[in-house]
Amino acid sequence: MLLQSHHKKVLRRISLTPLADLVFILLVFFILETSFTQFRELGFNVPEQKETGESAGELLNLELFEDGKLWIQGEAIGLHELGAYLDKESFVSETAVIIEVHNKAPLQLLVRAMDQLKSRELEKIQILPLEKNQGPQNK
Amino acid sequence: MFDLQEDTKPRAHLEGNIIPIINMTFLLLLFFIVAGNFAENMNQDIFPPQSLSETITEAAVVELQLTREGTLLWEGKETTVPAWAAGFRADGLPVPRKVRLRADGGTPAAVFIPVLEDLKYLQVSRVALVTVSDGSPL
Repeated sequence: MLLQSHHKKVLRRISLTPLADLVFILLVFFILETSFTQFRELGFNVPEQKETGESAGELLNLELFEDGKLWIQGEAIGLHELGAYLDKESFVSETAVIIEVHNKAPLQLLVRAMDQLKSRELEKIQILPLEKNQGPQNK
Repeated sequence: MFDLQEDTKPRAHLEGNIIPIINMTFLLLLFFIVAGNFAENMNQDIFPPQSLSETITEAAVVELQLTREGTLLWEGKETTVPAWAAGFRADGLPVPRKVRLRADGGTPAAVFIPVLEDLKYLQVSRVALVTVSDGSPL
């Protein structure tokens, strides 16, 4: 019985070049499409006007200007001083905070102020436009 | 005369040399697949503000995007808050109570406050601003 073929076996190697090409293309795609930035959230409630206005607790009013200055309870301070001010006054967490923002003040400044408030557990924040567009030095 | 036949020996030698490169490329590919996140439908012109917030963004939340110039985007298309809400109503869906807002850190208040006011008018009760991590101390 003839079990073996008389034909000489031809050893064919699979070419790796197309595989390498494909892997490189996939790699380039993932490099371009992937983002390593870890995004965060800074949440706040959007209360009705009456919610903070009729609040029985303390009320903290902040006015935020485009140069990072704050007008807070009749006192002009820098945004970097807000943390120290809040620590000094030690507001309770029930305190309603109204931030009035000058129309040219960038969102980054507001986020900085909100960071300071939230880190002191002042979560009842309402954001309003500052109607009188003047700096604290004019007050 | 040209010799058109392939010489198998040098070719085998060359392919043997590219195997470590393919291995390394596969490892890099796996790294990017596992460690990275896909930049899903993100406007590359929006640079969110830096914050100390530790809350990681959740998936499956309605996200509006706001450019520095005041263009509001929903699923990559330009819209306004009333038009966005009308889209939900047209589909028989309620307007979401929680909205994520991906706004540029340099957006002036004159641009972002009217958007917040419009959302308030639609009885959106909570807004989450998208931020990026900032390691500076308070």
